Order: sequence, then structure tokens, then C-alpha cells
Amino acid sequence: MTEFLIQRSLISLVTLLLITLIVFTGVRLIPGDPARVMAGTDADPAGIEEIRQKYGLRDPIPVQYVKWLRLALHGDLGESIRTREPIVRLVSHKLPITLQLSAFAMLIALLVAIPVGVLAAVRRNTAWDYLAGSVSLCGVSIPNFWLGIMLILFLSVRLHWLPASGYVSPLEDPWGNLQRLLMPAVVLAAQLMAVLMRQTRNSMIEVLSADYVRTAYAKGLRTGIVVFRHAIRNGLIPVITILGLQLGALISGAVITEQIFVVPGFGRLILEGVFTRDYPIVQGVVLITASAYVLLNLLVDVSYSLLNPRIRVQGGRGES
Amino acid sequence: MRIRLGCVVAIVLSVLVAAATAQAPKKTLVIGLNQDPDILDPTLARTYVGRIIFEHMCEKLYEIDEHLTIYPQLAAALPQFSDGGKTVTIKLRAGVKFNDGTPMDAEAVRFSLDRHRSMKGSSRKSELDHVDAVEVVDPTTVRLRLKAPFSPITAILADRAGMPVSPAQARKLDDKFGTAPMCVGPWSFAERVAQDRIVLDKSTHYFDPSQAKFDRLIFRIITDDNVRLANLRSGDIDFMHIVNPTHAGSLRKEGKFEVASVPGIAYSGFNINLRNKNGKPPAAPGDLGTPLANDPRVREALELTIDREALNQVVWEGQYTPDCTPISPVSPFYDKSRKCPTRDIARAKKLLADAGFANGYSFEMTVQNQPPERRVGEVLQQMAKEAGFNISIQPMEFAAALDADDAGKLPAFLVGWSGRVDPDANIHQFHTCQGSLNTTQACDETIDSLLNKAREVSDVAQRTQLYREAIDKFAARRNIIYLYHQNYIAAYPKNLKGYKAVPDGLIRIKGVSWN
Repeated sequence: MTEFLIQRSLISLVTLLLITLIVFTGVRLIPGDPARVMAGTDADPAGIEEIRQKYGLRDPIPVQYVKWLRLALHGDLGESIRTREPIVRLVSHKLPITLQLSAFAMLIALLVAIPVGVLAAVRRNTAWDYLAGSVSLCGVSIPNFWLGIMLILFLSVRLHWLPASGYVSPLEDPWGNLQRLLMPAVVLAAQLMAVLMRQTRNSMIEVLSADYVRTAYAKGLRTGIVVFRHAIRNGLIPVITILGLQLGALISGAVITEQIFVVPGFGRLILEGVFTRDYPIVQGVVLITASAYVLLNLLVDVSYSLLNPRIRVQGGRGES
Repeated sequence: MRIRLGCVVAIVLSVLVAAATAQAPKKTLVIGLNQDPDILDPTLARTYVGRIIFEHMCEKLYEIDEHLTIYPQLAAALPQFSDGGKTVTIKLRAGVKFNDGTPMDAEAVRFSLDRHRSMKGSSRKSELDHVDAVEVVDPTTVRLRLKAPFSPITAILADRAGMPVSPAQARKLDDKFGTAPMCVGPWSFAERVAQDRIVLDKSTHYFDPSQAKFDRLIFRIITDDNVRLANLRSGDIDFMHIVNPTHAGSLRKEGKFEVASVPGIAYSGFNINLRNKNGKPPAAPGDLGTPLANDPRVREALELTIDREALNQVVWEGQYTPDCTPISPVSPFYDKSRKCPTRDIARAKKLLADAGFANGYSFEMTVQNQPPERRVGEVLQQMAKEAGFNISIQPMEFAAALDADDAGKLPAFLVGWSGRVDPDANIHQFHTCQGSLNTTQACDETIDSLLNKAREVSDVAQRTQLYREAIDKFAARRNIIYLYHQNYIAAYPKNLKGYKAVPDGLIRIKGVSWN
């Protein structure tokens, strides 16, 4: 087990190093002199040169990389070139916002997708099913940004029901927080909702035709009890798997949603970082995100091995 | 199940209805900006939008009005030039305090100017390059010793280089001053959330508190034009900076908002590379060997195909200001007698034929990879086609294009300049032989001497005449063909009173109030 742990941790470390290397060189391969972008349109040559000096942009990329890595290992990800704010603080402010938005979106998606999916499965080939099918098709096909703009125009500009944009912390103003996150969360949820709804429907249809369900009906149980007590538990297993897979998509979908609803989250942070060639932001954010993914994967690997001892033996002591 | 669904619907509806009753407090003004400013330190700052924030919390020795006339703000009078223009004496307003309560006196001004001049990473260094020394004469008088006479210095002190910072705060925070800036202003820095908002509260130390009619200003960063407009319409912001020209017309028609438009000091045009083979100055110029670079008739023919008014109508819905010079029509230095060349296809064809290209001439024009810039390029392409020019448009990311232009790799480049109050900064560096932004490597000593002379004299009429002569010469050289000045369009509700649009496009809320 220890050997397995060490092996997996080493692989994770190498993965992380590779990711940082790719991102580090990647941002530097974006065309255009970063010093020039940072200095703005009206750059004067002396100012540009100072920026190059200050941020060591004159050094060869490998030298820059080693310097950055050394600091990063000490927990210092540097500071934003534009605003001089420490990256760690920026991330610690922004990440919770995106996580809250994603969690809210997921909640909405689940609350809508599962009941509707079940309904579509139980009432298969009726008007309900077709309606759910078309709504889900719309959910998958409507682009985020369009839906977002339409919601703003309708609910904020026309009806003045919800604020068009912004964010307040739930600790400061829970009600305001909910109002402001509702529209972005719905937009972010749209696609996930559609996918989950289809998945629920399909897997429920499969489960509902299983023998044990037929037996339940034969016992004389009512449809409600058959569906909710017997079928749904098995029906939702594939849905949970899909949900896990869609998590990443949810976070990346937040980039666009945050832009439209002016939510100061993680997505906007990295987007602005790329546009303004704020290298430390891009590198820091990618390092943190990648570390989180790698760590999660490591945990998953380890938990699998705990659950299923056969997985551990790979590269072990010659057992098969 | 039905009950649960009903619950969800009821919750959502109640959220919506409750939201309908919420309203913003009126003592706060919310302004929507199109970009997130960089660091809020007048010495280090570089972005245009950052200047809008400074306008409210970091006042300057001099300020400009809606006619681009310079007037004293923290200074008590316009500067006195003596010693043949090499000594500049500035009288300061007495009794002014920084927002931390410390006095804004001659010593503080000297400290600030020296900080601008010498701090590591300062973006003001080159602006104050002509200053040799800053001296304190008495508590309300500062004297600048210049290396050479330089009349644009007043305009330079009417921007970030003229912003005094609180020495106490600057010493305490050093290069982190921008995280808690402290200057003189009707409002004072309160909070910043990166990429979201900057909050300023009314100052308790400002010398004219009646000018700050709002207790709080919130600058919100909303980068997308459509989203910013939706926020204005929904009442989430009270003031919208940079309205897209395509929205200005419909916004006016709606009748709910005031739409303020002013021709800006910025210009747009296109560079034609004449002799930049190995880079901009100080690299030596070289022969490009192309007719576009070497034959003035080809360039003249090209300019004669352009209908500036039609371009403005097609791309900018007629909202911008067509022109053929780098000086904005609102500037006191603008030459009102100048007539821009009008479209003349017959003459363009003849010139092209004389140059030996009766069957047409092809070249490549680089444009920024943004939809409006591409449209400008396409309109020019179509116009030039009628005279036999075959322009291929090369869209390129902005920073990459600037690099390529510096290196002399672009035969023609559609680009602009954000503009400065004093014409010197809009002309000198682009058109003098050794100019730092002379990427076309155009060089003519007569033009150099006219532009240098315009730096030395301070009389407006005299300078206007010098610029007129210089423009006549470089307009005929056509290393930059100017097309239009961008108008700064802002929108706000009709019951907001007292707003004056200034051609630098910055928003000034001082003196503005709800009706």
C-alpha cells in the first residue's frame, strides 16, 4: 500500500511539474510582447524596458521558470503585475465565489432535471415526454451568452425583477447574494440540466423495464411507490457518474457566465489574466487548479484501491 | 412530487417579487467602466480607465475643461515661465490637505514630482524627462528647472505627472501605495475588489466639499458593451462610460437617457511604412523597395480613394468625427481653415497610372483583430478597389501587431493613438526622425525643426501656426493617413444634472448631482 501511495504521489508530482511547464511556456508563446501589453497602447520605450527588467522578462524562459518554481515551492506565487495584489489572496477571494455559483447551478440543475427526467420516463411517449425532450434539446443548444443576455433583458431591463449583474457575499447580504446569483446559476445550469434530464430519462426507462420493477408492480404496488422507492435509486447511479464528469465543464462554463453577469469569480480572473498578459495570475491560477485536480485524482485512485484491493497490485510484487 | 415542484416555483417567484422592491440608495452613484484599471498609484499607473478613478480621488496641479483649456486645480495660477522658458514657477493653492489630513504644500509637491521622476518602475519618468530639478521656494511655491524650454509641461502636469501624493502614505506603503492611495480629492479611496468594483467615499478633508454631491462613488467594471448597456437600462448602474456608437442612436430615441458625445483627442488612421526595414529609431532606416513606400504618387492616390464621411457613416453610424490631422477639432490648436482631401477616383487612377500601375496595385494592410477595426479595413479596401488598389486585409492580435509594426514588418497598419491634451505628444514622437514611436521611419529635418520649435514657444497662436506648417508637410508625405477622431459617448439618466463631457473622455462627477 505504501509503495502504491508513493508511486501515485510521484506520478502526480511529475504531472504537476509538466502542467506548470506547459503553462509557463504557453503564456509566453502568446504573440505580443507582454511588457508592451502591460504598458498599454501608449507605451513609451523606457517604461516598457523597466517592466521587462522588473519582471525578469529579459531572462531566458528556463531561468524565469526555475525562479518562479523556487518561489512557488515556498508558497509565494507572486503578485499581479497590474494591481500588485498577491496571487494567493486574489485566488482566495475569487475561488469561493465560483464554487458557490457552481454549487447553486448544480442544485438548480438537479432540482429540475431529476423530477422532469423521471416524469418523462414514466409518461414515456406522451406530450410530457416530448415537452421535456424539446426543453432539454433547447438547453443543450442555446449558447450560454445568448441565454444570459436574454434573461438580463427580460428579467432586469424589462421587468426590473432581478439585479442585472454583480455579486455580494452571502455573509454580508444573503438575500442580495441569492438575487444576484439566480440568473447566472440558471444560465450555468441550463446545459447540465439538459444532459442530466436526458440521462435520468434513459436510465429510468431501462430500470422501469427491469424484472424487479415488474415484480413490484405484480405485488400490486402503486406507481409512485414503485418509482420512488424501488426504481429511482438504481436509475440515478449513472446520473451521479455523469454529474461528476460534468463538474469540470461547470467550472469552465463559469468563465463565460461570470463575464456576462459581471460576477468577480475565478473564471474572470484567469480570462483577464490572459488578456492583460498578467503572467503571475495565469500561472498561479493554473497551478492551483491543476493541483486541485491532481490531488482529487490521487484521492480517487487511493479510495478505489482501498475499496478494491485488486487495483493496488499493479506494479506490485508480481501478483496478477 | 407536485407539492415539491410547487415549492420550488413559489420560492423562485418570491425571490423575484422581493427583488422588484429593492432600490439603490440615491446618495451613491454607480458608474460602469469598460475595463479594470491597473494599480491606483499615479506614479506607476498606465491605463486609461485608471485616470477616471484618479479624477475623483487624486487631483492635479492643473486640469482641463470641456474646451481643452488648461486651468489651475491644486495650483493657484497657471505656471510662470522665465529664464527663456527653462524655469517654471508654480504657485499652490493654500490650506489644501490630503485625504489623510496631512498638508499638501510645496514640500509634498516636490516629494511627489521626485517620486514620479525617480521611482523604480515609474511610468511618469519619460513624461517628466525634461525636468532637471524640483525646488521648494516657500510653502506655497514650487520651481521646476527644465533641461530645455518645454511648453507642453503644463499639459503634462494636468495629468498623472501632476498629481501630488501624500508623502506620509507613500513613505509608509512605498510601491504598494496603489493598494491604499491617498491624495487630494473630493472623494477618497475606500475599497477595491479586483475586476469587480472600486469604491470611493466622500472626503472629510477636501477644500471644497460642496462639489462632492454623492457620499459614495462605486465604479463597477463591466467589460462587455451590451452588458454594460443592459445594466444602465435596468438601473444597476447610473452612468455608463463608453457607449458603443451603434447603441447611441437607439438610446437617444428611447428618451430616458442623456447621451453625451464629444470628439475626443484620440485619433485613428493608418501608418504607411516608408523606410522601416530593421526597426524603429534608433535603428537606421533602409530602402523597402516597394512603390507604396517609395513613390509619393501611390500614397496620394490611395488617400484620394478615401471618403472619410462615408467611412464614419458605415462603420460608426456617423457618431465619430472625420478628420485628416492628429489634432482634435475641439483643441485650441486645431486649424479650422484646413480642408481635408476629398474622394477623387479619377485623379487617383491617373496618379496610379503615372506611377506605372494602370492595371492596379496590391499591398497588405494589417488591422487589429477586432470586429470594428476589421470593418474599417474592409470599407477602405472597397473604396480603394475602385481606383485599382487591391488591399489584402491581415487581421492580427493587437500586441503582436504593435511588435510587427515596430520591427518594420507591416507595409500598412491601421492603428490609432489615445491622444494627449498637448498636440506635441500626439505628433512629435511619430513624425520626427528619431521619434520613439516613428515606426514608419519617416524623416524630414524641416518637420523636425518645426516640431522642436513648437515645444519651445508657449504662445498658443504661435504654436498653432507651427503645427499648421508641420501638418502641411507630413500630410503631403503621408506616412500616417489620419481618418477620424473617436467620440467619447457616455449615457446617464435625464435627472442627473451638471455633467460636462471633456474631450479627454474621462468622467468627472465633481459638481454633478441628482436633480
